Amino acid sequence: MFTTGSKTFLGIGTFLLVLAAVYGWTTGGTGLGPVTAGYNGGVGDHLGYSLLLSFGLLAVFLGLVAVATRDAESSALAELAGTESAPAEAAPPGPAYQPVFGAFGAGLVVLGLVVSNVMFVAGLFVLLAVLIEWMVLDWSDRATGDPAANRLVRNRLMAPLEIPIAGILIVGGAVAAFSRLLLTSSVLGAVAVAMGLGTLILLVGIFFAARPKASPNLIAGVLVVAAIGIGVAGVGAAARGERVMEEHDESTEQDEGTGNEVPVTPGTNKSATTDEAEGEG
Amino acid sequence: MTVTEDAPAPELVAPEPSTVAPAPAGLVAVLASGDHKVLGRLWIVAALAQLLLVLGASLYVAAMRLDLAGLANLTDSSSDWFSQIVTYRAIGGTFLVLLPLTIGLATVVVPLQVGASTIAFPRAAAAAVWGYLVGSGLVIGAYSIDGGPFGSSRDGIRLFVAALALVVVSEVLAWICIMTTVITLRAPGMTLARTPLFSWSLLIAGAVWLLTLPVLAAMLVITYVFVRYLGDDSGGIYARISWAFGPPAVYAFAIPVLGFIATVVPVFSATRHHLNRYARIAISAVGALVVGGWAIPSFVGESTPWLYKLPWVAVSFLILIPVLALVGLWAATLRKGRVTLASPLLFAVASLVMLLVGLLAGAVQAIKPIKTLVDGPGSSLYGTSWTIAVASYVLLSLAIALLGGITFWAPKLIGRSLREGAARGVAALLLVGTVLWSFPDLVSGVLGQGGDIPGPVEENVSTIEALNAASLVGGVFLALAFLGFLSLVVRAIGGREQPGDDPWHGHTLEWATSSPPPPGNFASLPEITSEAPLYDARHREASTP
Repeated sequence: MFTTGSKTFLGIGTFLLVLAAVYGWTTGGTGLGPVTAGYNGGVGDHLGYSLLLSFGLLAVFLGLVAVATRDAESSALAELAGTESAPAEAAPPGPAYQPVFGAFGAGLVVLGLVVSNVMFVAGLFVLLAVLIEWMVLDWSDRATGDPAANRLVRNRLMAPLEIPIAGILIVGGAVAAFSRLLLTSSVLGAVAVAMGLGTLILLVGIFFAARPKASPNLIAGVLVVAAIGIGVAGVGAAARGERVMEEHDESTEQDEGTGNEVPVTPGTNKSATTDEAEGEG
Repeated sequence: MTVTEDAPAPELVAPEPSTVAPAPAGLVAVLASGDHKVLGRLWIVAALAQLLLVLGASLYVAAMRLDLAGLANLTDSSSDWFSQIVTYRAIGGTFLVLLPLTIGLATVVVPLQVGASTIAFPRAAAAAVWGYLVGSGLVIGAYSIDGGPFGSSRDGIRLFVAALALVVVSEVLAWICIMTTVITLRAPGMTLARTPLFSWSLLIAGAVWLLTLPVLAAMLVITYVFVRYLGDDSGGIYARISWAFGPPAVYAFAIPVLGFIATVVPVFSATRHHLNRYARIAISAVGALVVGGWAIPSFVGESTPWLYKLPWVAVSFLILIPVLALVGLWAATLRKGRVTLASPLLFAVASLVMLLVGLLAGAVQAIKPIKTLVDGPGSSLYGTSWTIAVASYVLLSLAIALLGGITFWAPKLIGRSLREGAARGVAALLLVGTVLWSFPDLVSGVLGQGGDIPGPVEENVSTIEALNAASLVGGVFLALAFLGFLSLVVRAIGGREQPGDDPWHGHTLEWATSSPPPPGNFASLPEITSEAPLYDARHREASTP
């Protein structure tokens, strides 16, 4: 009944519990306190007694778990399950991006703690999304015995959510990054950036249109590089800030003009100015 | 009339069940992989890259110690740069290099040794490695903006504390995966008592780290709160972290060393491990003793000094008993078998010698009457460079064992073997380098040189400076050895020579599969009736007429 692992843990547990009782009595414990965890008397030194008792109970618990699972031996598990052979071992999982995105989210949270609340919250959202994706993936992994069918099950559930959200994020991110890039450039530079990027996109489009058999990996690679490029450029541009915009004061412009051409609205400063000018004249 | 039919519901046809998915290729094979071999390699490559930075920092610190008067100026309150590099050397060396390197080797080897097709919780294992990569990058980023311990950038310090917490949490996650693999994914027939000793040692080491690292993580959270909301300065941060790599907590790093030696000695003696069961108990005893990481002298509370001093002294001495027992078992194993002095055995011997010296030095510093030779009554050896030397010996013994492990398991890690002669040279260079690096610190500790961040020295200045010069030479030897080892690995990866499935005639299951192992690891497993199933199989074949 008692396996090697369970004997180890139960032995350690018993030893620690006895030690706790002895320790309790030798450090001022009274009556049955040290064997009743203080219910019927004092336990002596609280700190040492608590440590010994906690570790003792923990070891006993682990020992009982080891008895129940027969040291997690696969032959014993088969016996418990009532099958002739040991249960099939878990298959290695297919590729999953959740861990790398999760780490990215955790990194955002850490950076956000120092840099900005927006980044911190964004990191939490990434972690939440990863958590949901991970749970669904884990559930779908056990749907059938075949990885391909499991992927299908997962995609049916998640693709209607993932594709629109990913689309919004990608387009929104690209627009935001592009706008930052244009706003940080000089007036002429913004025109040059817009034209240059437009030309580049056109050339890449022509390139792939002329090669219908281009490898999907190549297309994916170009898109990833472009996304990273515009993302990095956008972040850099945002950090640099917008260019100095020349403020146009409308009243000044109007004063500098003919004055009489401005439609006069009675009761406004502008009308007063115009009236005064006319009066002086 | 047009008849419209409802579109047939798409069928979810499950093809023939296949338990092993084909290995992904390209970038997906790295970014999205849950294969323990890929994840282990990521840990190892990242840790070796960090090793180069730590080497640079260590040599810089060693060079600065050549001029003690100049050092006193560097460590005054107006300059925090030197102090930060000192802390990076220690924190980076333990949490960014040695622990990740151990985890990497364990991630590759443990599932193979226990006959599993995968690591337990493979996606959590992947999250652990990516979390470590992101966290360690942020730690270096924090140092680069003057945010390490003793730094002056408050934002940088907060970033450092939070990023180190991310690294620590990632390492806890990795240990959970490794331990669960040993406990639940062992092949049929492999009882706990038949678990290979390297995997067993990692189970024990994992249990110790599982008890230790969460405490460190909690300490970092508290530190963050202190820095963020209570305006705590950066000086106290290092004290809240450094206990994790000071004696006796540093002895936790010795447990995988014992497992590696216990694996290598029987293989290169071509015999069984003598009294395998007792070796298992001895390794467990070391684990049980080093859990007392809280019992270090700097934690002494005025109300309960015995609670800290007594366990510290007891652990410092008691830990020698199981280690010496293991040495006896290995000597008996070597005596019983036919010894081949291959490079992994040389690494094992070098790491064992260094570990023994470190443990003995640790015991000596716990003897109260032994004091420094500083004029007057002298002071305790604890807290001088003697303590640093104890930690150096233990940590470098782990480094030697890990490089030995990479040499031994290279066929499974990279599908190639390292050049045997050059690997032996690296092992010898590591041994000489460790002695030269650490032994002078023992002597200068007796002469009163301070610990991590040495304060001003008033006596024996020229002798201590000469000892520090010898230590620097040792550092150069170590750097040459590490760089030589890296070049060996790179050359092996670029080579074409196939090592074969079992080039060392190993005893455990990792040698029952191809080099490198395929996805799913094993096509079939031999019968497991002892801790050395391949040794059994070879001898069964030999005895069959």
